[in-house]
Amino acid sequence: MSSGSKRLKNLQICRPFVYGNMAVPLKEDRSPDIPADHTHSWTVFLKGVNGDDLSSFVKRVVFKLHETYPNSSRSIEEPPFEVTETGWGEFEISVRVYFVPEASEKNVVMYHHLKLHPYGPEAEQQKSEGATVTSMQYDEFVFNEPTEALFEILTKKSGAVLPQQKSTLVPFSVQSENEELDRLSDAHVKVQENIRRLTERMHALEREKAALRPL
Amino acid sequence: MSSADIRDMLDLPSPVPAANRPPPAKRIKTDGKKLDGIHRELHNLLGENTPAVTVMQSKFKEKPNWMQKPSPWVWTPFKNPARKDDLELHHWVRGVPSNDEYPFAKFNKPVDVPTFSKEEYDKCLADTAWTSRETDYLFDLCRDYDLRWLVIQDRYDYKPEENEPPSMRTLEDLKERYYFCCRKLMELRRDASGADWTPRDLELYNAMNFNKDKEIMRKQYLERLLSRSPAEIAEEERLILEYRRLQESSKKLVQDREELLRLLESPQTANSFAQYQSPQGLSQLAGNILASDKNRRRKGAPEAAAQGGPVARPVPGTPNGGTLPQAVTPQQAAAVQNGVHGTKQVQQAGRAATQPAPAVSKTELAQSATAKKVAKRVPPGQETQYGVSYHDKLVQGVYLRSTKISTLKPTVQTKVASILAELGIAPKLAMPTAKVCERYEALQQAINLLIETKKQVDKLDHEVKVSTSGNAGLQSDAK
Repeated sequence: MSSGSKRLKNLQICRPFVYGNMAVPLKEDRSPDIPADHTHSWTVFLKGVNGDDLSSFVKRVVFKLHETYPNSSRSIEEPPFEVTETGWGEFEISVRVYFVPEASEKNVVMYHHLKLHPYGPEAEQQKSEGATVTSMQYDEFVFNEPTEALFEILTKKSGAVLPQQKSTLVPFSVQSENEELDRLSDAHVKVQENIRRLTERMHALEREKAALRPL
Repeated sequence: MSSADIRDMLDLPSPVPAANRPPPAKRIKTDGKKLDGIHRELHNLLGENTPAVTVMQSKFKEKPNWMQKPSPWVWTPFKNPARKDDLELHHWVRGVPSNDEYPFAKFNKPVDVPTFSKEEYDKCLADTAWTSRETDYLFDLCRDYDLRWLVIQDRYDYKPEENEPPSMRTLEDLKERYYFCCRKLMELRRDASGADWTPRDLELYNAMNFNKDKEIMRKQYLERLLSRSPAEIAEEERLILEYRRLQESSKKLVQDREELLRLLESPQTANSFAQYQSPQGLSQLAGNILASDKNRRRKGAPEAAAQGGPVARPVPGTPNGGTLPQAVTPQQAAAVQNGVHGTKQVQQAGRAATQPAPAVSKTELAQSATAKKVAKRVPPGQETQYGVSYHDKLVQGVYLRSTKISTLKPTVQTKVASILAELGIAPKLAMPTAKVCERYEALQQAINLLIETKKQVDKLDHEVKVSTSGNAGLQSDAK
């Protein structure tokens, strides 16, 4: 057995990444190739946090677009893993990530709803400005018992560090993680409080029931 | 009623001579009848039979036949044989008057009031309250008025002789006397003739079983029923409804109680727990819990080693194995009492007890061969930077962290989701990192526990209410 294919027991490595899309409304001056009814130019991508390079363990990414697009299955073999297109409608894109052969892992797929139109309280304003619309999702690849080769690749450079601060360029950071953690902790505390109250009530009722029984 | 019946009743001559008349039986339309166009379609839709009800639009009156000579009407005298006198009346008859019997005479069917001789009376009909004369009078009246009791009772005017007390007979008295006499006569005649009753006789006998008190009561009830005021009627309806509702609710209560009892009794304790009271037994118990927990979660690796644990125990394996058991046992005991939260500890402790050779607690993992390799590449303090972590049992493969958030049963899931919404947590995590996912899982478990506790509280509440209302009922009954 070569060292490459042996798996490291009890080991788990995770790598964060971001996937999503950006969309910008098309202006008046645009190339005549684009069909007249297309209103937006959008880019769907998969990239690492902090500008990290995923191609060390990601061999290729296949974006499956809507059937009406020619060659709707776009396979990207090298970074940046993204597809730029024009269109008018929002639809679900499936993103299938294939890993390098050293990993001996099967592909994973995730789904992303292409967002073109702004949403929220400033929707109208953003529409009129022609601002870029982004929709991104943070996720992590979790490798359980990776092969040695994959392990070597993944530990060549530290890649699991998140940027500290949140900013417009960096939507996912340690700060936002902590915010979420805090939210969850607060909720947990509230729930515990409720549980405590209910258990007290339960004991009281049990005592009451025991008192009534002998009657 | 066909026209033939009507003609028979009114004794009208039939229009067509008997020989030519088609059989009055209902005829089904014969097949092979030529039907065109719409009639054929209709037939195919309706089937062979004509519809049950046909609306006959009355056409114009028949054209009067001027040629026929009008039949004369004759003022004819007639006699009614049903009458006892020879009264002769007249009526108009069309055409030639026939000498048939007056057609309405046959409706004069009298009631069969029995007659009895003096011997029969003396034998069985003698009664202290009734004299023979009065009984005869009663029977005569019955015969005259065709057993119409109201009329009889109205006309009843018996003039008693001097030595008899005056008679005040109610309707029930009269009826009772009459039916009693009839029954006694029937019995007497049957015994005399020796022949047994026909079923029809038996019917008659049973029908004449008159119970005066019951009849009086029945009439009183009816009287009362009729004379209720609308308010009373409404109240009675309400009471009936309430009674029915109470019945249903009490039935439901009984059912619920049965269910609860069944639920409470369901986990049957098979064996005694004495075997689990020794330290050895405790470790065995921990092993069993561990095994069942794993079987539930991983659905894979059967821990045969768990059963082998207590056997291997007394044998001090490696120095690790030897020192561990004592330290582990109080841990296990504590873990068992902690229940849910202690499974992880039990897992580790149990694992340590059952696998003496390759130790598997977290610190020991770090010393394993794998970790040594890792340490070569990754400086040990910086593991999180590389996203490296150690776990007990891993399913080989790669996945997205967002996909591994555990799901519950759909009904429970909706409740949990609504509670999360209340608490202000979005259903999809913004940043599913390891820490965040862990905490989210913990939150879900806590919410689950909350829901369970609430269910228990509701059940107990209900039981207490039932007990208090039951006791109140008993106390009021006792009073």
